[in-house]
Amino acid sequence: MFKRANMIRRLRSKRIKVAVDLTPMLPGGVNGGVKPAILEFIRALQQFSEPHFRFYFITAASTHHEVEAIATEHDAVICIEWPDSGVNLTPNGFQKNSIDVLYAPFGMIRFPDCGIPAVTMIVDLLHRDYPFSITEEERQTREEYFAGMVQHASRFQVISEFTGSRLIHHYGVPAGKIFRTYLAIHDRIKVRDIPSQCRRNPYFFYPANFWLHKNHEILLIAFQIYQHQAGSAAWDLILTGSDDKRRCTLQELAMALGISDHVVFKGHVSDEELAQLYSGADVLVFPSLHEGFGIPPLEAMNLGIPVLASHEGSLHEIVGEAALLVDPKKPFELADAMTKLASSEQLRAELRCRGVQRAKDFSFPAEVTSLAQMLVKLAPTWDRRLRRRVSQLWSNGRTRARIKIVNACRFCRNCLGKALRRGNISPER
Amino acid sequence: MRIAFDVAQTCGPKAACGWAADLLAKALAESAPDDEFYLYHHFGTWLNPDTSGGTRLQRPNTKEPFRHMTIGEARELWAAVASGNGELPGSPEIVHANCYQAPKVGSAKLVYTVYDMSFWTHPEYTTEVNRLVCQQGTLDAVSRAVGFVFISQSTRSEFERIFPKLRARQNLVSTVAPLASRFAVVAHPRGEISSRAWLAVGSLEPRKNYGTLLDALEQYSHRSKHRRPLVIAGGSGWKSELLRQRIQEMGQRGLVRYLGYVSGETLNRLYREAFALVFPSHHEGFGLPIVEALSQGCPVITGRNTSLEEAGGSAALYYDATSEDLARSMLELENHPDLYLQKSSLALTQARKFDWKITAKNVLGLYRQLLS
Repeated sequence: MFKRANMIRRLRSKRIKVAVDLTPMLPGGVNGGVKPAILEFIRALQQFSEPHFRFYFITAASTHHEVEAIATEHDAVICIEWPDSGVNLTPNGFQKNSIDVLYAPFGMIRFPDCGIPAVTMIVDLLHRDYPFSITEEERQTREEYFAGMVQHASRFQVISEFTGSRLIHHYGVPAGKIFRTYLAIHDRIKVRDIPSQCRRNPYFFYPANFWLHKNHEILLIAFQIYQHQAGSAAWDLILTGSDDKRRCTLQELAMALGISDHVVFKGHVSDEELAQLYSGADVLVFPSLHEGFGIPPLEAMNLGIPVLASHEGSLHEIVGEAALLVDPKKPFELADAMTKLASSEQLRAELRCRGVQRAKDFSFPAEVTSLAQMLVKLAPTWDRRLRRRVSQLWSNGRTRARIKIVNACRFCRNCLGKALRRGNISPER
Repeated sequence: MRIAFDVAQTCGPKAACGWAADLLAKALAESAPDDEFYLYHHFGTWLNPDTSGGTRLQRPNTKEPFRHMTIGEARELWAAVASGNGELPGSPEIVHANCYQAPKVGSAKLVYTVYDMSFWTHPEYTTEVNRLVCQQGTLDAVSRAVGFVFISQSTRSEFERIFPKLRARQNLVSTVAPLASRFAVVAHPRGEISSRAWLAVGSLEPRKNYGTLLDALEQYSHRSKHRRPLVIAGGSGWKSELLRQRIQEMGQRGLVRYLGYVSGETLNRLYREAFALVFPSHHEGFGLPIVEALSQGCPVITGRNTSLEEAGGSAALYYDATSEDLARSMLELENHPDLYLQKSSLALTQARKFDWKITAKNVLGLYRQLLS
């Protein structure tokens, strides 16, 4: 017992090496809100001194430079051509670099046999809860990687209680393997006051990619109803989101609905532009049909922007009683809420006040600490001597340790010894 | 005129929309012998594995260019038309869509039938897949169609409430083309009170409000001398597991008999023999069972919501929302022979107002307006 505690302390005092699989990261805003959130988590972990995290970033060519920009001199960045040269990253590769933990923040575990504990982040279970939003091919892909992930991950980082409950519901993952970290990255948006002469027509703001479950159709219909009722006093609607085929379709729809003069499609915007758009926004409208967290509503609450949101998915969990919630499938309900908010300064003031209060319940440092603790908890389960031993076995090419078994016993030396004796370590295929 | 008419929905087991397309196609071809009609058995992305059950009109002015096309061939053809590299068979001047699809149709003018807006006003009554299909079709139509056909005034009003700005759009025409009974209106009203059961028609789905009906039936049977049972004719819908269990349980007590999906012939017989149709639907685009029951002299109890009053006119007996009120109406009809006979005779007058010939005339008028 003493020896083990000693070992943990030793490990903590030095450093924990985390391999971060960023190969699924795409350029621009195609990944949605999850990308900035992951980068914020990593930046925050880099600030830790006790324990000290060192990162071994695994990247794809298209976003390699973005990762290089955030790597410190302690980190390594390795670019691989997935899947072709994924073979370069054999268990040995992880061993040689003495990686303690693999962190797969984009969900899929691409190196299941790397021989070290893996933490994976799950944002939603869209492929089961709202499969209409993705192609059949994409649905199958997700089915496959979820199956692998559920089998191989040691811990599951979920971004809301809602997502956690869906993971338990669909995959029967034990609650003890799940930990929740909210994507409370709302502080990154700093808004400066805009000089009054720049002020334009008031507007509803909806920052979201044009995915089907973001429900832009109903928003446009509802906005059209609202706009017709409000007449010349009507506000505008500003949309941001990565360009794709659906943006064109939606732009055509706005044209057909006769609202194209009042709907602005901004495309993917930089953080600075985003801050500017937030600073001018009068109401954040968020009618999503499925959400694992909901960064924009939190950002808006934090900035004192009234929120009008869908009651689906995680959104109620995030906004609590601080937003106006509607059924996002009902255009009239959404339109009525827009009318109500646009016409009542009193209601907006109340929501502003409640939102600011609500946003205070979310603290990014606390969320990062949860993640850091989990990484630490898993890291020392690897005894260095054991690592050498398993490494030798691998290099002999005779056997392959099954991570699942080893993780389950939390890697104490005895357990592995027992596993070896019992033959629970399976020979290589 | 060269008119392409979508009959894709007539190829499988037909719901009201399928029947409507089938009967309107026939009425149109008969009413306008000098115009050419091309029946499309595959339409947009609505492609049928088997078209043999679809509308068949052997008339000199109708052709069936898609009848013998495979799904693959039809898909290719529609894709080619969508990308501007293909032409629709028959080079129609007008393409009339009837199945919640509004595909690109090249230089032809697109006419779109609007059945109802319940997927927007009451999304809880439908499945998510169905909601998305209806939404996409209707929004495509808003972008592409130049003519709209509404199956009731109530559907038109709802549509205009949802798309208030569309009215102002130039060159957009529309008409109300109500459905009509599949069965010829019987010559005489009922001379005596039928001894048979209550009838309910409609698939088992939340929109049809069977819950209220079964509640009312329980209350009614406690207070009725006759204790007429309820016969339910309707295919299996969705979100109705609990309802099924309840129907089974009430079936064991002799209160309910569930027939499932029935053929047109059987349905006609049911209307002729039933004591009355009870139709408490939450939402209808038209309410075809009402008009079909009336056409057979069968009295109807229904609500005043959406299109129901339009279909029932002065012939139906109306109840106000609650199961208590529905039970009261059932007892009232049962205990007042005068009322029963009066409603049966009004039924025929009301049913005669709906005629496929009149509807076809409206639709032809819309086509001509578009081409003038």
